[in-house]
Amino acid sequence: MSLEGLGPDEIERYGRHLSIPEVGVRGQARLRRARVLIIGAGGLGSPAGLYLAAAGVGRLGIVDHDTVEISNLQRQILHDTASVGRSKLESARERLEAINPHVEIETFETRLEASNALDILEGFDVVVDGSDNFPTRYLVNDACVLLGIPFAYGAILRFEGQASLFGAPGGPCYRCLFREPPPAGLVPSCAEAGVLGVLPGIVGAIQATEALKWILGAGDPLAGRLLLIDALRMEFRSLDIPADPECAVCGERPSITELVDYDRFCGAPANDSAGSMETDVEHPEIDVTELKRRLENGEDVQLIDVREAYEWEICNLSGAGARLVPLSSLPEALASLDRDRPLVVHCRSGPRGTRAVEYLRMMGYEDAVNLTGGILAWGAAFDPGMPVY
Amino acid sequence: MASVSVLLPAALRTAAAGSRTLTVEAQTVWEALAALTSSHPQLGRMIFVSEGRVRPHVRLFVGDRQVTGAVDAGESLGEGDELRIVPAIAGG
Repeated sequence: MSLEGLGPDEIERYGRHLSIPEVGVRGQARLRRARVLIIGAGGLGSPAGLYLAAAGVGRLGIVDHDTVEISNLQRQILHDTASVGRSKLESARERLEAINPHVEIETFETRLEASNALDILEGFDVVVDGSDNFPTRYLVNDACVLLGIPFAYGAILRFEGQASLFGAPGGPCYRCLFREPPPAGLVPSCAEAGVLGVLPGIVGAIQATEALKWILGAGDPLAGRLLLIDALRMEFRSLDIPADPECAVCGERPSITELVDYDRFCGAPANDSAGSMETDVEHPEIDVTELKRRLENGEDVQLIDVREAYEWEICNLSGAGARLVPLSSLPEALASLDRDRPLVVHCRSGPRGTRAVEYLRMMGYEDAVNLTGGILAWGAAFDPGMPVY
Repeated sequence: MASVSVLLPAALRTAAAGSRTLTVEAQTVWEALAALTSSHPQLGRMIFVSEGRVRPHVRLFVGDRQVTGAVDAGESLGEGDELRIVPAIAGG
């Protein structure tokens, strides 16, 4: 039996793979020759990176530009407490090389942008999209389609996830499914709505599985299907998603033939900071300095906190007269709001407040404004001891 | 009229007071969505960009099959059918 160039250590290390007919020595050698790029060393990129390295993928590229924060550690298992404050890529490299020294790690310490995406992605066989914002997701999709590289898609929120393989020959791309992103602020981010720490473990492992299957040519890829994961019910559901012949990037007459400005396309800068989604001329805002000035001048401001009750318990502005009305119960609370008094809404960092103001104005509260940056901005400016979450 | 379950993902549940499933009486996908919008206006605004036009980041499925297109949305629903609303999410 040819060992396809695998050394004795590799034969021993990958023994459980070599026993599988779909992998074997030939498949393992294929994995060693393969190049996989992971976008984001975060919640999804962590488990995907760990398993792809352990599986013996020859070259693993990772794109990220963040440092490790303590709030990452609940789910981003590539990093540990000692890594807080360090570059995610340094932390990831150390961990992945410790798991498997046979893997070559290539790091790209940059934000993935239209200006660098094609150069970074070119040469990789498959991409794992672990990004955390819409501009990067559309950028990854378009770049992969233009280069002919399939990508393992995963996205998460609270207890729920989505996974697919996009950009495979004949299969749909992300734009075939979701032609355009939601307006900024309409779909909550994980920073805003939260995510169960183990959920990216499930979804990221599915992405890694799809990447490995693609390299091996084993089984049925998730192309043409959208897998929905509901961890609360522990239900998995696969939906059929055909390719769209009218798709703007992979259709029969594509209108997108080069990368575009994805921040503009999505109406929001590419990062998971919920506060970044709040710029919208239709939704007037007030900044924390102005709110403080008006409160200190004794203005009779109604300050409404539209977060959830558990968030109120972490920190609140009751000292400034704030009252809790969670966004979902705003319709029932309308009768208790005074139309003749100034109304200022705040949430954690902005987006829910934007939605609340949009709703309030529609319901006739035409002077309602949102507090820019939410309670986090207030804490940063006036109350450094306030818990940040 | 058939009794149809509308399945809502986490991203839309705040517009339905946290409900995971809403039951509506409808004979077509459009009727189901109209009933949904009538009882939950905020949900309607999250699904429709304007009357009759589903937002491009929202997809509709009956069973495993996508029915977002205008032609498909007129298709009839049977007793016990599940209409699943799937929006794009970006978390990672």
